[in-house]
Amino acid sequence: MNAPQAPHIAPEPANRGRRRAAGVPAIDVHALCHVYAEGPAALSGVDLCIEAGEAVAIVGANGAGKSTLLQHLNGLLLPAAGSVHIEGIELGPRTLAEVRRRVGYVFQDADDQLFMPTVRDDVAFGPLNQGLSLEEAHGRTDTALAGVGAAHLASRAPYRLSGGEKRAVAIAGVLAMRPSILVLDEPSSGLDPLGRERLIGLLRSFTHTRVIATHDLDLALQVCARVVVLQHGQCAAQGAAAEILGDGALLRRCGLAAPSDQEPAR
Amino acid sequence: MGRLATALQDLRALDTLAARDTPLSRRDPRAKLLVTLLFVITLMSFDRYRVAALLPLALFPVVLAAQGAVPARTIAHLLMLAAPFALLVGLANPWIDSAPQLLLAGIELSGGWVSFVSILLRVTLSVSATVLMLGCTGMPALCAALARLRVPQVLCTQLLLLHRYLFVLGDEAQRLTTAYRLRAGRRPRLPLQHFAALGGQLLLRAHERATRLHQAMLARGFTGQLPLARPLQWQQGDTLFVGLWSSWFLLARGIDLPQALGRLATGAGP
Repeated sequence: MNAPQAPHIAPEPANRGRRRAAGVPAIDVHALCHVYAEGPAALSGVDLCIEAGEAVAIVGANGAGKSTLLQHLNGLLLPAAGSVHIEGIELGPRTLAEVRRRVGYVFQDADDQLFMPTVRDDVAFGPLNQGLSLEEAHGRTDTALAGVGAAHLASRAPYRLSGGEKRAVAIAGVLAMRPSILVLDEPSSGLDPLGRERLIGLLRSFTHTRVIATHDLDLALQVCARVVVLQHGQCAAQGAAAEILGDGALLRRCGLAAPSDQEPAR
Repeated sequence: MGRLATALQDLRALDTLAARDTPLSRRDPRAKLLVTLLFVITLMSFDRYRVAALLPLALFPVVLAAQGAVPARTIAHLLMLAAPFALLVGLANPWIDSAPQLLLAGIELSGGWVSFVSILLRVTLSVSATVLMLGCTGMPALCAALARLRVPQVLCTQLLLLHRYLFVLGDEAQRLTTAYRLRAGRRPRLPLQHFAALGGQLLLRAHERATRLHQAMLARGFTGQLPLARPLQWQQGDTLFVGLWSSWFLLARGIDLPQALGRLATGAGP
């Protein structure tokens, strides 16, 4: 990942206003519940409201429900009870395509996301699924790859890339769809310190609404203005990043460790 | 590197090869698919005791390899993967069919040995051609070609996902066997009684990974049809490609070219 060029990969302007009245939050989760067949409730009555352009970190110990919550934002899971509204659109079987066009999901393991023979083909996968012409899709692909500093990888095979390169390409694959909301699951896992630093720079440069599930509290502090702490599928606390991540007792109670001193997000 | 890792690497190499720009990769996938199908059908249509008559057909994989700039090493490795199946099919022939069939340099060969060699040659040629076609086309383009040739879309998508699942399964198997070897001490080979447990683990883990992959595809708008990153465009060159190779296959099937050349060289009558 080289120096990011956020202006090229900003969300599609048409996305921002379409079917969204002024004042409608980008994400509105109300009393969300989810139970996996083989276990206890993964989410029990989660409420969350995120405004357009906000960067919010979802933190919590393993099994707290972070990934389950994130998967509801893109319709990979549908609410068992409660509701999820994305830019005013209620998530349901009929609105899946529209929700997925608006919400870009970056998976924890980039290898799960990259499957086409070349990086260019993989990044073009989303735009082509959106019904764009080959020309438009390739244009978006080149822009997204340049945006994450991975233009030089276009003709490479994804499985030959380093962890940081794979992460950059996975993000480009999502950016090429021009979503207005970015959802990232553990984006810094498996990255070396330099790769992580570049990722933080890239995430800070985005103007999208960002929701980041992470164990990396330093990253949360540097990228996100707000933090939501999940514990046993419930919202244990939420507030300004500096305030929440500065509360050692709360973090310890929720199975987390306080971050080292870093420059907080704007 | 283990044998499994090498095999996976070679299969992956095919995907990488398909992304290059070569005279063969520029041909429409449908043309390559049709010609390869014709080639395999022609090969299989020969009598089981014919060996020399198959040799002119070797021109097809040789020309494909040259046009597609596919390394011989990749083809050889993938041929080795198919070799056990060919051996399994043909190995019993020398015992089943012991009637004399051919006199070669004073040595009498039974029909079983001749048909065994014929099977090996056919498998070598058909696998080489298929590998070359795949290496210069790529699975997504091949599936798109199948769909255009009216193969049901659901089958094409299944084929594509199966191809992806092969790597998922292979990767998981590699991780499991590595983990086993690292703690196996003096028992480098997997004991038979652990096979079932590891096999179950492998399927469960591969299934979980395949589910995540599917979710990642859904998250990027996948609706069951894989979009093609390059358009399918049938050109005059494709018609010529199909026409020339079909003619060559018909000629090789209709006339025993090595025999005809031998007669011509020795001046023997028809």
